Amino acid sequence: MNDSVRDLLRQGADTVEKPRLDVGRLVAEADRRMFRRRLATVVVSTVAVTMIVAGGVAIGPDDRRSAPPPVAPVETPDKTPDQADTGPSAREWVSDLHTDGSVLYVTTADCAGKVQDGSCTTRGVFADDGQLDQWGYWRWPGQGSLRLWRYAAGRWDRLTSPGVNYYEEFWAVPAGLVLQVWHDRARPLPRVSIDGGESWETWQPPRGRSCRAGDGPNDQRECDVAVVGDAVIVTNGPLWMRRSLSGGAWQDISPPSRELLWDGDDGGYGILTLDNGTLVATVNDPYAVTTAYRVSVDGGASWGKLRPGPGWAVVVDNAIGSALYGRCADYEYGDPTTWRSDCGPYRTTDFKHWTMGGPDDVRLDFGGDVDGCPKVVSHGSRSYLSVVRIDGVSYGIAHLRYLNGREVRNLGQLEINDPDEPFRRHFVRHVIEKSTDRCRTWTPLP
Amino acid sequence: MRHRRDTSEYSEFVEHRSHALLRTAYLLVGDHQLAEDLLQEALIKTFIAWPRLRDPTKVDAYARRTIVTTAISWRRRRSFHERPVDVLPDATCGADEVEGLATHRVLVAYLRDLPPRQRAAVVLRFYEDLSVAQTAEMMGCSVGAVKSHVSVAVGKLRERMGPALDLVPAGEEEVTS
Repeated sequence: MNDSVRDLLRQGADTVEKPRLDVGRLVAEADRRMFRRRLATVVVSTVAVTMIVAGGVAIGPDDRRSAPPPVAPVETPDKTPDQADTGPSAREWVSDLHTDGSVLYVTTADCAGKVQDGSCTTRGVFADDGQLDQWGYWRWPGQGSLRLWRYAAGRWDRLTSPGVNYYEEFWAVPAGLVLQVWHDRARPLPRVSIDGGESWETWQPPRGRSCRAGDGPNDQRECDVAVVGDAVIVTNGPLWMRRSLSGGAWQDISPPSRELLWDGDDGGYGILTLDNGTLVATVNDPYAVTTAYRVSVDGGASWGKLRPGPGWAVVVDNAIGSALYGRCADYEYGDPTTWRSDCGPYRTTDFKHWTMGGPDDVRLDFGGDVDGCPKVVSHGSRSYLSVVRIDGVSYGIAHLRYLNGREVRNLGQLEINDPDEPFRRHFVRHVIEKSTDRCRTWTPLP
Repeated sequence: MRHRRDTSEYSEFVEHRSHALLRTAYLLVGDHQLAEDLLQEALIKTFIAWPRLRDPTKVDAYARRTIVTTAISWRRRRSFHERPVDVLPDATCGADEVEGLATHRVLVAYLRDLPPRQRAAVVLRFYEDLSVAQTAEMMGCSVGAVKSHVSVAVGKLRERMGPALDLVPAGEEEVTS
């Protein structure tokens, strides 16, 4: 008997029940993406994106009545003697590695669920304060679970927690440490430490302005944070301000000006920071294809001319090391968060001439290189993410790799769709390893 | 001035079209939960594009095309990342696994084994009853590429399901490259 493939496909499709969709969530997510696209500050760190929810900090409309004081109280240290010097425990999830050039900083988080045989099993929920939202962004539950460690000269020191659960970006510079927070509705403000993580303060905007994280109320807007030299620059569309890491008042600074390019354009810029302190102000039209940028090599005091992006619909939104990257948006399908694999990434280091990367660049997912080591290193059965280099030694977070059909997957974060527990997640603990031969061989950190 | 978005029209669209779109999504990914994720993703993209969709009659086609292109790009993109899986590690669907299943489930299982573009071509041609030209437009590729995808996919499905399976779209005698 001949079965019509059409009939069989329809029989298969008939097994699909009507979906239960929350239109409000769809709309909210669409708005959130548009918001973030306008700012063009999505962090393309594999680990950061998968482990720490991407987001932002915002400066909202003036609110003179409830303007907070310039500086909030210092956070209370939460390290305990028995946890000092031993390094992250088996229960902790290694989130990311950072360095100011001399010290390795490690952020970790508690496993929210059950730890067994090196894996962490949790169950995600859809609530705002839950672990996993509807869109698959991972959120660590619990208060103050984010921990900060310092590793130097073979010694671990647990530092004071910055008092946040999630962050979007972490800067370690000689002048201090800065966190751009996410999902902190009570205090959606940058956290700053000027003593190497021994203590933290929460920065407030100047009187007359307010800040919020990117997932805060929609009547306030997001802003960008950049760290350059010993200063933090906070941008809110056309309003920019700067403050020294070591203290002092906020100062309004003149952002680069430009013509308005689309309906709803406020003339503002997103901002990217290169390792050498170069600032790049970016313009990415959320509705169409306009991309442009300006460069400052003096900490924002002056700006070069507005230059168009490297090509049609190439969004300039990433800086790694001393290189600026652009990636090709699939705008034809109306989605500025879909990227074409047959185009880009584009890369420039002189901010004038762009080259298009090859397949290896695509494979590395815009990871770039860090002093000779790819940002994402594949070696044997493991891959290494978030690689940083200090005094000739590379440090990376090791993921086991396995073959699934024809796909190579990283066994770092797994979501197992269970019919009974549809949002249960299994995680396997990350391990920090080091390499002294430019990522050719690796050994675990003690 | 922000682009005006008519949430009520969008809600109406979601209410009336989401089931049909989900069916297509399911055939494209072969997994109910992934299909829901795919549908949500496509609907979000559709809403982002809503201000530019001047012609309401094109919204459905737009959403459908977004499902197809997203399914393809998902596969492409997710292969570089940690990603959800049904089982760990899940081997490709083998003969033992599909033995005893209803024929349509077998087809869906084998369909899932096809590369995403071939899968999309089959679904659009045989399930959506689109012409080669319409399928090419939907997938954003050439007519020749569609013919090639369908031809190769049909060959694979015939190989696995047997020659008795009728794989010729209505009104056509043969599918060739």
